[in-house]
Amino acid sequence: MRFLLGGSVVVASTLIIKNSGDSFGGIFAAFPAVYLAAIISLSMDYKGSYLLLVSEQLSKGALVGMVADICSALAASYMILR
Amino acid sequence: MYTNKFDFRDLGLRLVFGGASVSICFIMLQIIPSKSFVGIFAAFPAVMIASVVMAGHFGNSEQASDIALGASAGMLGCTFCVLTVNFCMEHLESWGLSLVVALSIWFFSSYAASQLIHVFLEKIKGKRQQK
Repeated sequence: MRFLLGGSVVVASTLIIKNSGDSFGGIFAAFPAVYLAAIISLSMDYKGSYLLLVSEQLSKGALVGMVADICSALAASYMILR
Repeated sequence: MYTNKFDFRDLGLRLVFGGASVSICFIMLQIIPSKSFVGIFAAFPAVMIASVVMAGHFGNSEQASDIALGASAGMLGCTFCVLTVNFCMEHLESWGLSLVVALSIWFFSSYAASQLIHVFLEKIKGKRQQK
């Protein structure tokens, strides 16, 4: 169920990229699909204030991951041409 | 040549990357007590990796490099999105509203960052042509 949720969110963002113009397509190339799917999947298990707490905790870790993503994207862009 | 036509291998790769990331994230959430650490897996750049792999495989290295650079602008928007989720969940205390506000912030900040990268790339290309 979660596999399908995550996969379909990523595939849906791909379809938006391919049906959009260059500028909007470029923006959706970095759509936080996995993060959103992970947050939405939390709502299947947790409710109310505990859902808010777990989502906040997950988001703090995701923030570190996002900064690492920026570094890896810049490194990939540079290294691919080397 | 890498084109924008629908390719089932491309979509299949994205489905596997996205699905595996969310599944791993959920499994880690059950195993690891620190929810913050698990959040790192939620930031897995599935869309970017699939785009770069497909562009490198069916296109050329320059296309793959440009996609990675463009994605770094989008990821700056993702960082603002996550910051907004944190802020809104703490202050608005509404899960759904926080996600809607964060997605709006993601869209506008990604657009601004991609425009900045565009200007930056144009300047670099101009300098290269002058040389």
